[in-house]
Amino acid sequence: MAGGKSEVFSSKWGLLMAALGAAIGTGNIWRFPKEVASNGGGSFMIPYVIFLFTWSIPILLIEFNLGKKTRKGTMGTFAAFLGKNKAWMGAWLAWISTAIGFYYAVVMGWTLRYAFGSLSGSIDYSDAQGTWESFLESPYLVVFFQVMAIAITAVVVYRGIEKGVEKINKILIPALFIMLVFSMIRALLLPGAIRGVAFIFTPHADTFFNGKTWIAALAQSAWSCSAGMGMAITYGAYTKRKDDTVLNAFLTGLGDTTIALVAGIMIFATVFGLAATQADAEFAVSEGGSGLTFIHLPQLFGEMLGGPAIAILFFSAMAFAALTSMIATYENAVKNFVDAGWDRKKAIRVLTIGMLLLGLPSAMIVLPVGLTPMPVFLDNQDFVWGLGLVVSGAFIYYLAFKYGITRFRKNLINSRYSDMKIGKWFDIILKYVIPVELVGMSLWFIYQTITSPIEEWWMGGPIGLGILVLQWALAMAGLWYMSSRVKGNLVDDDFSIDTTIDEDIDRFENGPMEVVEPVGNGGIRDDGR
Amino acid sequence: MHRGNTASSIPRLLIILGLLSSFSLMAIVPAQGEVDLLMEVDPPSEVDDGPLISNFTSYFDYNTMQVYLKELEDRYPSIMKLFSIGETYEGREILCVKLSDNVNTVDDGIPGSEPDALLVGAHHGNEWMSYEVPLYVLSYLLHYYGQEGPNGSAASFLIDNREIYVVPMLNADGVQYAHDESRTWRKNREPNYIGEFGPTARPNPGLYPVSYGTDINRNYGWMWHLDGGSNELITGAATYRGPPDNFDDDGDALIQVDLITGRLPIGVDEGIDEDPWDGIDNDNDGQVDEDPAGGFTTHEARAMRDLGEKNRFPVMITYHTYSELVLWPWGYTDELPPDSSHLASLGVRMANMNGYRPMQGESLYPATGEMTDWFYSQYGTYSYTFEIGRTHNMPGEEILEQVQRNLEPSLYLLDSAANRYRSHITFDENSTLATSSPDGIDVEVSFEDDGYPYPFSEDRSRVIYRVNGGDWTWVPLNMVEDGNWTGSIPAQEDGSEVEYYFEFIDSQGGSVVEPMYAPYDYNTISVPMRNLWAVYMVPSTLFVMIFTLGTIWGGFTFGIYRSLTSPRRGGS
Repeated sequence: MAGGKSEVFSSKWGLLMAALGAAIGTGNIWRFPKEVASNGGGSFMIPYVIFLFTWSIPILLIEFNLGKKTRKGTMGTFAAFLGKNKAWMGAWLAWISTAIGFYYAVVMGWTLRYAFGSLSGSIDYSDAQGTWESFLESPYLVVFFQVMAIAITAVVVYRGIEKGVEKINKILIPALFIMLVFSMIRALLLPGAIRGVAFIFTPHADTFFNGKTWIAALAQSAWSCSAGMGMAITYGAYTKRKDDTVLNAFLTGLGDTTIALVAGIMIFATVFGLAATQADAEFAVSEGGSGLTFIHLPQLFGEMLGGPAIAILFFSAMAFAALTSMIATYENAVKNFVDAGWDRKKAIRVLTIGMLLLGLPSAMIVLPVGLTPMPVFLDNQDFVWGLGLVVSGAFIYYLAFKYGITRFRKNLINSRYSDMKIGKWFDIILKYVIPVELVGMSLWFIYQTITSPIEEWWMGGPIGLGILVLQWALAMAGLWYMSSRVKGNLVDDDFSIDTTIDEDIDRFENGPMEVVEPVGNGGIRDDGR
Repeated sequence: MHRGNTASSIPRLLIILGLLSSFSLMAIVPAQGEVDLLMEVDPPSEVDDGPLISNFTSYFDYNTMQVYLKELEDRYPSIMKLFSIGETYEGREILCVKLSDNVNTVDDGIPGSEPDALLVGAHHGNEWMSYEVPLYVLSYLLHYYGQEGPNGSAASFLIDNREIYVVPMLNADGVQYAHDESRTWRKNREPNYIGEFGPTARPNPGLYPVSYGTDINRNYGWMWHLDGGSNELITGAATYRGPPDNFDDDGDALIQVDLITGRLPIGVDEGIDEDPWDGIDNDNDGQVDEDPAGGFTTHEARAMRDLGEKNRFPVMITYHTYSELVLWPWGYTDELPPDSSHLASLGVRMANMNGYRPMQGESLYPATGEMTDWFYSQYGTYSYTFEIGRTHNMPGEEILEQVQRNLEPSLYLLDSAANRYRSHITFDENSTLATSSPDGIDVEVSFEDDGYPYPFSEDRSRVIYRVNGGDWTWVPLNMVEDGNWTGSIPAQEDGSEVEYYFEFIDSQGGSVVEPMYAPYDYNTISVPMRNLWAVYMVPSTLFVMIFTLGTIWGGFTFGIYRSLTSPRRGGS
């Protein structure tokens, strides 16, 4: 680890890139626009910003410091703090990120297809809709690219060449950022584009006072920041205890949302700028879904000077951004396997097979909804596990609550090496705001789904309460059973729950150096979705 | 590190998780509902009003068709009536379907009543696709009636504003025989007898049939007697036209064949019966066509004659297979019919829709005693023969493709029942433009006219519009130049939806509307938000925008700045 600090953060440029890299991902380019579209634009933005500060960033902060403290994956962390019988909660965190990974590989496959397509010229910029729909409706092609996405990730992780990927990313991510900003400006210059901006920022009463909008905003904020996926725990386990976490958590959350807004403005400006009429644009928004990004981005490139060339770079960079997220997903799961005594390579092999098989339905089940083919299974998985992040957040909150919130802040977050100290506001958010959010959101959501027409929420509906609870319950039961079978206590022998982070630094880092193999991200948190 | 049984438990974990995923799969798939193949037409529609009624992947026969039509009648009793217009030789009902929003009202002949239109299938037993098409058209109309979308507009308009008669399977005996016995059977199943002097309708007792079947489509009256367009002697021939009428129908004692001797009276030309159906008073007795030479010996042709007599259809289609043609009268001669240009215009329009070749019927081969000639000669019906497909034996998988291909021209014909000249008017693609300004909404429409017989009236042609789904009202249309008209709708409130269509009235009172199924279909323009926007939307939008962007982008910038200036990070 000697020299790691100067290597990673050797320059201000490097720091900036690390922050951006963590922020840019398909979470803000693909998922954010579709969530905005289906939740009424401005009505979504208000809760989205609120939850960024009162949910995602605090949860991330806790996660970082948990990892730093325990040096373990998610299961080990929960076992260390709450005892081994609560390790299943940690498993749930890893499971959520893995389950998201199943369909995330499909989305990464889409970006790969567009990267290759823009290179080979098989994207018809004048009929982007046709290109997207015919691609989506050819399951073997989708699976081909999904397999390619998983294969690339697996090879990178298996051979431990994440560093190489990061080097490429150091060039590609800033390029992607610049192209995003550039494309946003170009989109804003389209006639009528301002209506798209107005759409994102205009609240409407009917969607604003709707529990589903709020819960979707919470899920999107958590999804995009990876809050509740356990990745921050895994990342924390690989950082030095002296490293700052407060600023990191803020930069992650704010950076992610920064990019989301850039991408959102770009997409909606394009949708409204290129639509023939207001009604057409509203129709495109209401049809929404994944098509928003994969139809309207190529449309924008078709309008831009040198658009097809930009498209090559853009989609390649997006594929690489997705790759880093997939790598983080892998590391997150693998760390747990390794903590449980597995061989790392064996864990990667098993995980790869699981990823492949469990991602297949998301890739292949595409059905027409209205006039547009939709990846309905993928959307269902996105709904179920996206909301699963709320449960993850609750678990993490439960851990902090058991440990003592003020104690957590004073002992584990604020160290003498922190750039910024966390003040009392943290206690207030965790003691009052988050419980209200948790209980309020859940009750509102359940009330709304139960009072809506029965076919909306019971088993049949792809975004119904029935299917949500069923999948959660099965996952929890499975995870609980499996966790209870793990032998050993999952915790390092020298771990002590009562020492503060400063004491740990004295024990481990200022004292005899603990040698930590720099696997994983090697220090740069670069798992932004 | 801790080792032990942990390792083996993880694969089991994965298996459970796999099961999980398949559970969610099971829950999703049935929720999508069945894809209704029947109604997959272009443009596709999202409506689905129940289980599949027929998917048109295998051929009906008479029995299954009967069941199907009864089921339809049960399902749509208010817009469909199923009745018999006669019996075949073998005793089958000749089924006729009437589609209308007032099916039980008999308004035939009442001025201003809804125009009638007729679709007929299966004159010939082996031409199965010819009854699939009318069955599909009627299924389509019933299915989409009252639905949203372009298909719904078409079906609702036609059922509400037309009386549509469909005789899907005229030659029920022949079709059933072709299904049960011989796939190539064309004619009906009446027995043919040869008397002393050739084919006869009234055999002596003890005479045995020599063959079976008359070609129904050579058995109508018009020009039945002419040679060359059918087969008059060989009863077994495919185009056998039926036995001659050897009787003195008008009682003037001038008869063609002497019943006692069986010989022709001396001096009577064999080609002229006394006064056959040709529109001329051949025997100069002051009556026209009162003593025909033959024709209408079949039950089926008589049933069609009676239906036509009652309804005097302005338009009709009779479906046949095969050749990919759209034919119009005359079938018996290459002389042009009186309405030739209008007949051709509508025929060409329909042929453009199904991609067939349009021509006058005789150009294919002369046919006498044929249905379209009869209807055209007697009632002036613009009658068309569709020769579907490239073979009689199209496989079942091809049905859907063929019937869908012929749907649009069939609908167009039904629509044309109200104005048979409308095919002369072709509205330019994207011709209707509307622009909204604070002063009003200017609308513009342009079209090509290739021979519409009457001028459109500037006084009576108009733009009909409504605001936010209110009542229809109108403003006049003014001609800028030939085929280019404009109108000006008064200014409306911001955010209103204005729906409008055009109606052109010619000097005879005939009308042409655009879009075709207006007012069930119409154009829409929305008035942009100008005032409301300024009052309410802009401040709240600006607030959210500045709040959001300020917090996020500002916070991020500050965070970056803070890290860069931090004493412990960055340059250290």
